[in-house]
Amino acid sequence: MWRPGVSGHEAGVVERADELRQAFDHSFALAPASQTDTAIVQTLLTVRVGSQPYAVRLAELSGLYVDKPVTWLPGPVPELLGVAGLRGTILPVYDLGMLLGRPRAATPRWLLMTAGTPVGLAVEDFDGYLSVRLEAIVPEVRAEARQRHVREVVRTADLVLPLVSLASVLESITNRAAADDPDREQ
Amino acid sequence: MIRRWTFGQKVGAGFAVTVALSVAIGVVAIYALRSVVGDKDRVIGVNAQVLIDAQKLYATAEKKGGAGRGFLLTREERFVTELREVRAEFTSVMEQLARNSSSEDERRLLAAIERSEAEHQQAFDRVIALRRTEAPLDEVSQAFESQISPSRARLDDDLRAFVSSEQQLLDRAIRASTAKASRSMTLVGAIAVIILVFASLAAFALTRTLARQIGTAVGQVQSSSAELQASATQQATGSKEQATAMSEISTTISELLATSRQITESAQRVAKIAEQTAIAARAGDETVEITHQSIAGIRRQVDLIVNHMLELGKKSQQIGAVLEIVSELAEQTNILAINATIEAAGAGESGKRFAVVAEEIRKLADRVAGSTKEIRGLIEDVRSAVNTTVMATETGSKAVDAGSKQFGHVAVSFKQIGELVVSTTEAAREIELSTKQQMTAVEQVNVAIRNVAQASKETEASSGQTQQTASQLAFLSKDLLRLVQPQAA
Repeated sequence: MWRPGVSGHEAGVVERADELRQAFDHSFALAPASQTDTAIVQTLLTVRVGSQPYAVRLAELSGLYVDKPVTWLPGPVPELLGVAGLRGTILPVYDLGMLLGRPRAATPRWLLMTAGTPVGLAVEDFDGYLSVRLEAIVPEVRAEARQRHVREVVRTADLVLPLVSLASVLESITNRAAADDPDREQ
Repeated sequence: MIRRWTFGQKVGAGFAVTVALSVAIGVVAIYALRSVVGDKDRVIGVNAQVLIDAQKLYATAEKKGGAGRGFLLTREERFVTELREVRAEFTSVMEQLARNSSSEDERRLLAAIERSEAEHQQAFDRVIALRRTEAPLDEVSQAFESQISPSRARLDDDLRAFVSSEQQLLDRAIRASTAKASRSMTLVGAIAVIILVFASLAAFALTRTLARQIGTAVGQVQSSSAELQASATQQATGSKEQATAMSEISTTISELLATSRQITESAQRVAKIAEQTAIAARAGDETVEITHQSIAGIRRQVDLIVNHMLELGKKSQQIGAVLEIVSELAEQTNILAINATIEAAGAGESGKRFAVVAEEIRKLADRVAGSTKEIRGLIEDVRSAVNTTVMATETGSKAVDAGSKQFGHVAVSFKQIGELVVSTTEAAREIELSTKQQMTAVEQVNVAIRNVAQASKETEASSGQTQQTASQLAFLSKDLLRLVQPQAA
């Protein structure tokens, strides 16, 4: 293909696009048996809570949403931001940062919808998708680094991320809701 | 008024007054003499003549008596004729007296004489007639004694009375004339005395005034001669100094002449250099004009570059907007892929293939997101470069404007240089011409200075003569002062 006046930098960009195209085509050329074994691979999402990167298990989520309107709901729970309509369901939306013991986020844009009991967790930013092997997830042994709902860390060659246990977060929310519900107590 | 008169006027006035008084005294004297002479003439011509005529009457009466007696004695007729002639003479004298009589007394006396004479003549006529009748002599003599003698005695009385009267009139007229002559002599003498007094006073006043004025003038002449002497001395000294100064000025003017020649040569050189400068300025002006046009072209190109760059910036912004859409699509694709992965995991074994597709789509979206980030960076670089280029081109445009303005200033400066060089050339030529004229003038001044130096020497000599003359004048003024004011000398 002749490209008039293409410089070296532009040639690199075009080459990059070709690589992307070839990789995309190549993934469909492989046999299904050669797909990565999910048993030994754990898929994670990396998010940012108050400029601090965290990781959550994809298996503990039922959806990821961005720029969904949250209706503010007055109540005694400061972590509860309000309610939002997702897939035809009204969900309570909590500030994950506050649930982790951090100050309230200014403008949480992303929503993580938990699996099982559907709850919306608001975070400031979504960094990306991360696939690690199971041995890369290790318990947090440093006492000074332990936080609420963080018992494990993801340790790779180039980063260490605290892994948030959404089950623990859901349990905490459920317990607080149960504590606040007088009918439940009776 | 009189104080302003000159000496001649004053002396002339004195003499004029004296002459006038002399004329007056002459006139008075002439008048007096004429009056006296008239009186004397009248005394002599009238009174004395009357007296003489009276004496003539006497003599005629005597002659008449003699003629009558002769006839009476001789009876000769010639005596009768003589008697008639004498009587005619008597009558003539009487008429003369009657004409000269001026008073009533004279006329009365003459009438008495005339009557007496008539009676006397009648008496003679009767006696003569008697004598012709041959009457005796005695009778005739007796008749003579009785008729003629008494009438003759009355006639003589009347004649004496008349003569006596006329003698008195004569004496009175002589006394009146003498008195008038005395008054005239007294008047003339008085006028002469007045003239003498006036002439003395005038001479005294004139002498005093003239002596005072001449003395004052002589004093002034003396002081003026002294000042003149001092001035002549100063003039002589000044003339010497002037001669010396003229010599120095002549030397200086010679140097000035040499300097003027140098100035002329320098002005000629300046004129040549100014012409060369004018040529160079015109060349510079043309070069500046060409450069100005080139700068205008550069400015148009720079404006074009700025417009292109601004267009490029707009395109970059549009690319950024499109890229934002692509980035948002990539993000949404990534979210969809993640959600598809989640859904595929929930679908069990049948969702594994779908999970692969979703995974690939997610990877692709992830890479697209990364690429959009890179593209955004590139676009930012492009926009930054465009901004930098625009700013640089604007700076360049401003620099071009400044350069254009500066070239405009340079062009104006070159034009001004050209005009000034023209002015300089003209000024240099004028300087050259003026310096040549100045040289001519200086040469003339040099000649004049030499003349002045010569004149100074002559003035010095003249000052010596003036000094000598002033000394003589002072000496003469002293003599003159001694003449007019001996006590002051």
